Amino acid sequence: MAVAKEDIAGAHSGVAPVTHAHEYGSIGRWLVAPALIFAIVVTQVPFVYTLYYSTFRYNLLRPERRKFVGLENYRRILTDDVVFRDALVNTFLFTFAAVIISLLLGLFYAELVNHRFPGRGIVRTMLITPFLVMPVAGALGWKNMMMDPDFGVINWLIRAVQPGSGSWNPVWLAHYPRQSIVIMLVWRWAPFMMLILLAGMQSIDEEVREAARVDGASPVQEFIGITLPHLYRFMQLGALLGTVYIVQEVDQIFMTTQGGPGTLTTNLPYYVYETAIRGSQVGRGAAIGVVVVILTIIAMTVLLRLLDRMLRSSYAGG
Amino acid sequence: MRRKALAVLAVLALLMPMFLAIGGMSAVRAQDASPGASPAVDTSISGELNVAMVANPQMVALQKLAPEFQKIYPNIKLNLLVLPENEVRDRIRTDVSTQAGQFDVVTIGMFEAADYAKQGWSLDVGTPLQADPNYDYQDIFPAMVSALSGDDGKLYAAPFYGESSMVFYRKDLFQAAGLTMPDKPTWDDIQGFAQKLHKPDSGQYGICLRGLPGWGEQGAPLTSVINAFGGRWFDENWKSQLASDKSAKAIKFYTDLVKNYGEPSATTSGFTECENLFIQGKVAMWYDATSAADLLADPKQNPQAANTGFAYQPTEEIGSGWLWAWAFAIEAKTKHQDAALAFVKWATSKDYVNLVANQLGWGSVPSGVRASTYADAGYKEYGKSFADLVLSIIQAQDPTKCCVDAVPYKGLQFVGVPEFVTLGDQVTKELANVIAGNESSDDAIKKIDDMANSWAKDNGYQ
Repeated sequence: MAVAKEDIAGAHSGVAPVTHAHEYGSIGRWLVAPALIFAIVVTQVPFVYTLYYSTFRYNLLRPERRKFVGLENYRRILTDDVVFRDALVNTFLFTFAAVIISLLLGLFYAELVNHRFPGRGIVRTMLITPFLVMPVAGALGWKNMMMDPDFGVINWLIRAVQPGSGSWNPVWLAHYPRQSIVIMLVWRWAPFMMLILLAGMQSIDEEVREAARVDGASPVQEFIGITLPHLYRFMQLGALLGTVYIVQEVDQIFMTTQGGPGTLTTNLPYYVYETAIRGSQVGRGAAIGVVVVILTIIAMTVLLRLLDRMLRSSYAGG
Repeated sequence: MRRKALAVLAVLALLMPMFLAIGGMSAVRAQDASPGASPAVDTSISGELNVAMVANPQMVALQKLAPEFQKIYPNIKLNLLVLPENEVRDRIRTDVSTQAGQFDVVTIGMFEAADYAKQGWSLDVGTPLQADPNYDYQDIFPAMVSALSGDDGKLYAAPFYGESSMVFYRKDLFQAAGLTMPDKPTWDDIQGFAQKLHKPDSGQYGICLRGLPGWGEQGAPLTSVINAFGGRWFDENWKSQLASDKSAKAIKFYTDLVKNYGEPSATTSGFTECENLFIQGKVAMWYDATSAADLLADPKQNPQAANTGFAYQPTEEIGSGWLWAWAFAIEAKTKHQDAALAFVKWATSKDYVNLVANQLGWGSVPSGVRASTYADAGYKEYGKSFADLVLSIIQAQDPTKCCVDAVPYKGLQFVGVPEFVTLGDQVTKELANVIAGNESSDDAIKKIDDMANSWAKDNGYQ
């Protein structure tokens, strides 16, 4: 399966409005050519290879059985691959839940540190830290230090506050595996949302707030009437970037549940890893990858269109 | 519209790297050789050698001793890549099967050795090792040699350390409960003990068994229980036998045992987690690899060392354990064959065992491979509570005979064909769902039986 890495800068240059390109004329076009060619070589050539491999039955460990099978891999994935369907549902659930909760929590964090108070710098740094911790290390911490039924802080707290013998000792990663993964994702991505929303809050003109206050607005009215409308665009950006990144999260699953129990925590990236890398089934893995890309294009187009509409209506409203 | 298209493209580009290199790796380069007074300096062999190893304690010890290798071979530049097991397995498998040639020497196990040999991906190491009288090839346990040999009978990976499986238990807890562990317990005995010693309210569990999905994690003890109960994964025609009476009984037994009397975190517990629970005094018994004995007998590493008892792997219809060795194979594409062979010979020699014993102590020695280790007075003294037992367990294993009935594959705790990884992972995930209490074992057994049959069809066995 093709592997391509693209810097985040690619997204910004792509999402940013391309307004004045014509003013630079044809020389400008030639100047971008090296970057464009590089981008094509790095991202599209592997993709073409992926398309090619997806038409083969090809297990790396059994090269003698390699055979062209046409669209058979796709037929299998779309018709009788139960794990794929589960993975699709899980990916949607994880992404949707994690983005929404991260946004709300991020909004709360941002509102919190937007006000001046002693030690604000330290609090802000501490809130951002989860995003800076290596995902693998963070996941290990969650598994062994937080969610472990014997040694974990969460269960220790539950036992401590529970009246009586304390018989409720939930095993998070076994009994609530999906919720646990979402918790880990939110822990990691809420700070990211906070950063974006905080930037938005700090760009609000203080005079506007002051005017509202002079007019007798309460802090809640100020938040709903001024801060929130101003933040819409930032929230949209957060939701978009969050979706793009959370869809591909795999570290937490790899480090904690290995996709189990059952298929409850197998998401699409983990399923591709399981098939192509662990199972060495290059053809099947490539086909899954292609289907994922197509589904992502559809989902992203819908999402972008929705955001666009929201953006326009919020302009109209403001 | 163009803007949107561009945005979609950009988003796509971001999504491409789905296969994240899972982090936490540590590339380690051995220190440059300092000119020492070693008598047997060999300057005739040179070249740069890339070695990929599993980050088990025995390999970490080797990493520490790499300067000693450099003293003998100052002209070889040794690069050691030491990574956690799940990760290094993926990288080694990909490197070997695509013949990418990133590594010269890799650690592989019995699961891979014969197959890599058949594909021509690894070199015969047995012939040159046999030719060296100092290496003492005959000293290596025959079961290890046989399980690491190709179909042509030649050795394709030199065993570094080996293991079978056994029961560890807490003598103090057994005594307090008035129980005695027989030398050769049955699985029914184990269940009875687990039931009596399971006191979850006071944070003490009857037994630790691996429940973490993965053919090499939960798959290993599970398969040894299936075999012990007289079951098997497949019959001679590759028809799944997981739902047969005996296999189903074994699977139900295993999942029930963990669910009822095992550690609560079973579905996320593998070797390391169980080792930790045992050392922390949380479990009364633990069924796992014999290589853990060396560590559990060490009071510095295990506070329960004095109270740790060792017993034979449990039997039911037959005794069934596992057999595994981490072994060094040389990739066929290597450009530094002499240097690679020099390294493999050094790391798997008797002299290396003595070197580890002298420098790091007997607890760090790679055991389970050479008879001479078990004959050494120093090791006998260190391992007086377990060494003889481990020796007899390893010698009793026959990698060609796993089950009561005939099977079309090799391997004791796995089905010895390369595609088994996929099936083993799927099946153990499903059973983790049973252990978690989300699914009944009868439903799961039906499901995994179907999985096994469709896997066999997909891969051309049925």
